[in-house]
Amino acid sequence: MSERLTIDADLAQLARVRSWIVEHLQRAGIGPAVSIDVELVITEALANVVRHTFAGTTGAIEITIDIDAEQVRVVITDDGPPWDGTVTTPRADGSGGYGVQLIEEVMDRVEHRPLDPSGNRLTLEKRISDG
Amino acid sequence: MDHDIRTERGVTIVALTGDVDVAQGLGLRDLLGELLSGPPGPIVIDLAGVRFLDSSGVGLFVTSHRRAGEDGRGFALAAPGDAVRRTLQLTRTDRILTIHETLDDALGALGS
Repeated sequence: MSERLTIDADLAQLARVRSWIVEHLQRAGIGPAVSIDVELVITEALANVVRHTFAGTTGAIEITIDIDAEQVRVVITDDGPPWDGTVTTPRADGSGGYGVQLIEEVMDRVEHRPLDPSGNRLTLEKRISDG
Repeated sequence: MDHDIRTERGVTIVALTGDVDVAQGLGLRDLLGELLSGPPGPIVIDLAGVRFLDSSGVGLFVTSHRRAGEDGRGFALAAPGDAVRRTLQLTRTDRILTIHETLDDALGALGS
């Protein structure tokens, strides 16, 4: 199963994306443990794209979700400025910056690729057997 | 995200409902900042009605926890569901924050 959604680069869209993702995960019979993780990771990843890649400018983000017997794969493609893959780790005062660490811990594969001439593609995979 | 504030046994209870994500961050930051600048006394965030919590919300709880600690004020989270607990666990903030299984437990620990 493969589904696609395109949104404006706007944090107000996050809730809509979560509803969309959860609907497809439930329809595919994915259990709550994986569903909770995927919903969280997609929120963190999209928030990073909106806040850091677009940084107040407008643009479009395309999200695709593929679910098969073994894994959930989500691909987030934006048309913003390509970035080099540098990530932010949790801030020393514990007040934030947890997103990237969380994404890498939860997902089985995380790959960021800058696109030529512009844009970025983030591929996130989670094995269903994890729970 | 919606919120409701009430006082029980000398504890200010902030009951949040819905999804807590970065889109609601400013509202939640202002709400917590206002309470932490207000009259002294413990604060409990009742999470029973929260369906989803992202790391930005966790960051606000950590900041509030630190500020409350500096002021000698009790600050705790109560009744997190599975999804909320997972976010707290993945961010390792379950080791920093005070988290009670139920609101009653929190009131027992912090209430007068």
